[in-house]
Amino acid sequence: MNNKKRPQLVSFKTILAILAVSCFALYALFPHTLFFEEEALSQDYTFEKSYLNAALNTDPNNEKLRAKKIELHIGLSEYSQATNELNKLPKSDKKTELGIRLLYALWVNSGAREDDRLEELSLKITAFNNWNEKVLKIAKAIGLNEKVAQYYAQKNQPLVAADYWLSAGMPIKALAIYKKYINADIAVKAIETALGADNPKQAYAWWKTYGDAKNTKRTLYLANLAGNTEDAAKAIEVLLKEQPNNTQYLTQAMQLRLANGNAKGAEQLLAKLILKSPSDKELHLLNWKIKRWQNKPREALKEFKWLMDNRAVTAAMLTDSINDANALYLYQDADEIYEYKAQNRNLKGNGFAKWMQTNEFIGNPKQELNHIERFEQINGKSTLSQYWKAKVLHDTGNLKALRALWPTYSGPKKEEDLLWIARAFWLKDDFNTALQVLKNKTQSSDDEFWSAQVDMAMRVQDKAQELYALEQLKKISPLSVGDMLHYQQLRFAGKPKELLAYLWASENKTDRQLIQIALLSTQVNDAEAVARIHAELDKQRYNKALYPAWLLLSNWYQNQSDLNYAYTTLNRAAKLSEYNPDVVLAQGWLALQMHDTVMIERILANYSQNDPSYEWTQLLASLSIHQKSYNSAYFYLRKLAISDPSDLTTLVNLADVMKQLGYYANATELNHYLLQHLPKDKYAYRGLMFRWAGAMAMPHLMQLNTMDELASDTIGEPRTNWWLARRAATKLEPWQKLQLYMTNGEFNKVKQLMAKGSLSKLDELNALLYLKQPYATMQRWYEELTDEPNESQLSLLRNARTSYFRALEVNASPEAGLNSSQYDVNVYFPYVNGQWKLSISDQQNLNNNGLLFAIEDKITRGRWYFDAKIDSHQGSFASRQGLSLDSRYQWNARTQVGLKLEYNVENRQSEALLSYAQLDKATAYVNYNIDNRQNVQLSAAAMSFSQRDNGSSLINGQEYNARYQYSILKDRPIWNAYFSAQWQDFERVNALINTEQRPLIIDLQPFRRFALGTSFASTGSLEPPYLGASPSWLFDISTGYQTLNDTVDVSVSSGAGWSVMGDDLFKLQLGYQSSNKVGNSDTQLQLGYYVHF
Amino acid sequence: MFRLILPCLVLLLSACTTSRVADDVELNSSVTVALLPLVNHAQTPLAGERAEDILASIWQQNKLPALIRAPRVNTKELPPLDDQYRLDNAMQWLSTQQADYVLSGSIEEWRYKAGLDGEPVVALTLSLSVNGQTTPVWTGTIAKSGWGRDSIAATAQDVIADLISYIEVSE
Repeated sequence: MNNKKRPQLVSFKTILAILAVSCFALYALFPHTLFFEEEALSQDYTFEKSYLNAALNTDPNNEKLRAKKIELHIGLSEYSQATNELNKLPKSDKKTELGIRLLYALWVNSGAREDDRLEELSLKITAFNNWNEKVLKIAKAIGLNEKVAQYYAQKNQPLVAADYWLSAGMPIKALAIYKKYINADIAVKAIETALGADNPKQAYAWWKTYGDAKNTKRTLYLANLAGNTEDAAKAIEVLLKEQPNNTQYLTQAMQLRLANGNAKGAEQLLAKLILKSPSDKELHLLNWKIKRWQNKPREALKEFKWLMDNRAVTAAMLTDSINDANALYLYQDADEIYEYKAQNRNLKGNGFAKWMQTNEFIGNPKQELNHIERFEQINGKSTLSQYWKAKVLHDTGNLKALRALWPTYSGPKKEEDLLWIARAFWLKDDFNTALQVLKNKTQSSDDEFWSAQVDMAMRVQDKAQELYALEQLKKISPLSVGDMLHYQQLRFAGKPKELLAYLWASENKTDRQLIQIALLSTQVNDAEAVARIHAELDKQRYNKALYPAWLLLSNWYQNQSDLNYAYTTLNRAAKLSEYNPDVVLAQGWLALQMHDTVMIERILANYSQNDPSYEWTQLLASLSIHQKSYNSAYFYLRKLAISDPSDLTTLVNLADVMKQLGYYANATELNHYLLQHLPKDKYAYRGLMFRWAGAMAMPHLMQLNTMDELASDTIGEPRTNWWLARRAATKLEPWQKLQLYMTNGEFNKVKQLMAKGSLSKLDELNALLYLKQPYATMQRWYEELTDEPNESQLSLLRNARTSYFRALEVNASPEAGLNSSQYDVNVYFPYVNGQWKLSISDQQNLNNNGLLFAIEDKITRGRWYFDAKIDSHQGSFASRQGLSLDSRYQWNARTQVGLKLEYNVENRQSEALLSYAQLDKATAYVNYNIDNRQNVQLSAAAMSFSQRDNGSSLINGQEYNARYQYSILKDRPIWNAYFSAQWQDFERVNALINTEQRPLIIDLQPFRRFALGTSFASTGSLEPPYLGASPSWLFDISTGYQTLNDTVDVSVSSGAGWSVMGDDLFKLQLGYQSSNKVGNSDTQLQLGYYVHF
Repeated sequence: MFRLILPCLVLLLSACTTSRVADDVELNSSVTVALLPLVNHAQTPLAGERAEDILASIWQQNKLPALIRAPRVNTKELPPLDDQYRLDNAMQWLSTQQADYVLSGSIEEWRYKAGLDGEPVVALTLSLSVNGQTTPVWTGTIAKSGWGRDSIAATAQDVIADLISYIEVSE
């Protein structure tokens, strides 16, 4: 064993020291070529520059040294020198690197702007492949991240490359790297990169793997981004639990619940949110949606109204909500939505129509109209709005507004619309406008439309339009019977023959057509046509359907007064109709005309038990009156009067029947009522007016109950009353027509009726008397009425006999006044339309006695009356032949005017003048009836007295008479009071008048007298003819004042007459004057007798 | 002579009135009497109504018990066609009233005579019955012809006053 160590030559410390000294020496000698020439320039630039220059001088091709020098120049910012040196270098990677470094230094030195130098630098670096650290640094500095990333990728540093990919804005490439190298350390960056690469799902997937599960917010965020609503919902629910009132969480949770289909949950959260933000439109909108999703349309509508109020709705929402409202029958809500739409100009045609329908469902037309008005204000008038306006106005019956709408109406003009508007006019009787409205449409297939036009055209008598409308109607459907008839009448207006020919021309005539032909034939009143249809009907005499035609024929025959034919045709109609009540009704009226007592009794027996219609009641009343069953008639008429108090005909008849039954007071009352209600024209119901006017005018006098007592010319036949008011009757017998014409004052028609010769004899006499032809009346009376006269005929006799009679009269007047006496024989006879009187008398006077002959003729014709008289007095001393003519004219109902001319007539001024003088006189007079009781007579005359023997004039003068008379009673007795005045005007003279013995001196003075008097009489006078009053009497008394004599006088005249054998009269008359025209008292006494032959 | 003239004059004046009247009837002052329409049998219209008015006036002046009257239907429509109509209406009205007695009657004449002077003539009958009974407790009929220039109303006042004077109020 060798424990002996080998000894050390140099220690370790000594070695280290020797090395350090050697290096220092080397460095001092070869500073750039030794240890640091690659890494950095020495701080001693000057030394180094000198060293390098020296070195290059010795070795100019030493590229390393030159490169060192370039680096040195760049470091010392000596760029031009660096550039010079660089140019000296041959092309190599080193030169490129140095060029890059130089360019970078220049770029930095020039302010590092984005300029061409930067671009050049980028291009150079990009093109350079052999990067070292310095180039890498420059690339990073100028932001060539993509190239840097590629560099690191090549250098197998993917994660650094990923960073630079991110910096280069290319996260997808970075993401690809992370996907490959993912781990917990880089998870955060990778997640961000995934998000940046728009791949949130990847990000959330990495989060789920590497993330912090407790970071719920981040989880929520990433889950949301990744669209993983489920995880997001879980996350938000967690957050919501922590902060239940956090609005953001509430909102998110609500949205997520919705996203996961948990609408109910969302609804709850939404309610909370709305509570927190009640005016948040978005929330309300969402709530409306949720309610709809939840199928809660009512709540949705409520929400929708809020939205509408806050103007946060869309057109689609409006439509949806309207549908909701309609589906729920919430028309008011729908209406409000429509209104909203309208206000916002969103309502189009169909929508407007639906709105209006909604309004109709609501049933508030006023609101509907307001809507339309508002709509038109906003959107202007439209066809649809006008249509609906018209419709609403029509449906609500607002005709006035509908009429007002028409002038500006711009809606559709279809049948329906036009009918609405036209109806508004025709209901106001403005048919003309209604027709103009309907004319706006010329083509239509609506029969109602054309029917309305027909009606309007008919009312305004637009026959052309009516015909056109009927033709249109005819094209649409067969016309009804009435319309067809009307159409034919229009088409063949004024050409009835052609129309009949047209009807006859149709083949296989139906029953209806035959009835139509019958109707037309009777309407055109063509006897031949009626005969033809009658013959045609005869061929089918057992055809029951044709009974109306038979009825028509019967009516026509009645109108033609062919009662026999009327009877047979009506019987045929009755049998065919199996005694249809209407036909029997016609039979009843016909029976009444024909006085068919059997039929009348049969109808009364068979039909009076039924409850009759108005028409039947009228008939039954008429039949009852005919049968004098007044109680029954009263029953029917009373029923008629109560059911229709305006039917005056009924009331007139009822009043008569009431009188027949003795109900005088009620009848009078009813007649007073009738007087107030009957037509007040001059002629209508004149008889009735006369009948009651007397009692009304003089209520303090007795009631005057019959027409004869008041007005002799008024129709007094009992049956007249029945027909008095039947002016509308069409089936009048001739005598009925006569009564009507006479009542209405239709003279010409009365004449025509007489000319036809269809009147009965008595009616003809009535007509003649009515025409004021009393002579002709009585002539016929004598010639044709040979039987014992009845009361009616005697009534005629009283009215007309004065104009036509035969009589022989003898009078003895021992005191004939003015101290004379006279005995007469008179013969009266009718001749040549005049009533003649022949008279022969013996007159005793003041010694010029002699016979007196006279012929007188009185003629009454129409309004004229003439009285012509010739007389001759054959006096013993002097004779006289006199002539007088009195003509009188009935001016009107009240006034008569007349002119009387007298020549050489008897002068009764005094005794002497009666005997020896004569009178010429011309008188004009007028009689005026103030009313039925008061009368005034005025006359003025020029007169001349002359002597009989030589005709010499005695005096000339004038005479004036005036008389006012008041009729206190018209009859029982006739009682008058009067005032009269006579005024003669001539000079008072004393004249000598020649007599048989010696001239007589007479004092001629005018006679002037004012008198008051009264008269009572049972008859007009005691002169012929005899009118049936026996005993007859009269009494007249007056008292007068004679102005010239200053004398009061009294004058009395009286008389009485008795019929001895029948148609004769014995009479006694007595008169007294206390002072006549010459102041003497005077007495007249006459006995007389006349007899008719 | 005067002794002869005076009875004649009295006879002449009084001879124009004829009456047949039951004994006086006494009514308690607290009772109520209903006046029914007087049925007009005369020929003068509205005679019943006129007589009713006069009767009501005199009734009150005589301080008789309360008189109630059936209302009149004043209408411009058709006049009543007979008095039965008025009577029927009044009977309906009566059924609604608390009347103790019913005064009914009729007018037989009410006119001016035909003749020179037209003397007025009035004749009427009155009956008083307990309401609800048909047999009258009092009845009277009277007729009077006035003098010329008399009026119907004056004559009617006389006869109605005469008749009503038989109805008295018990103390």
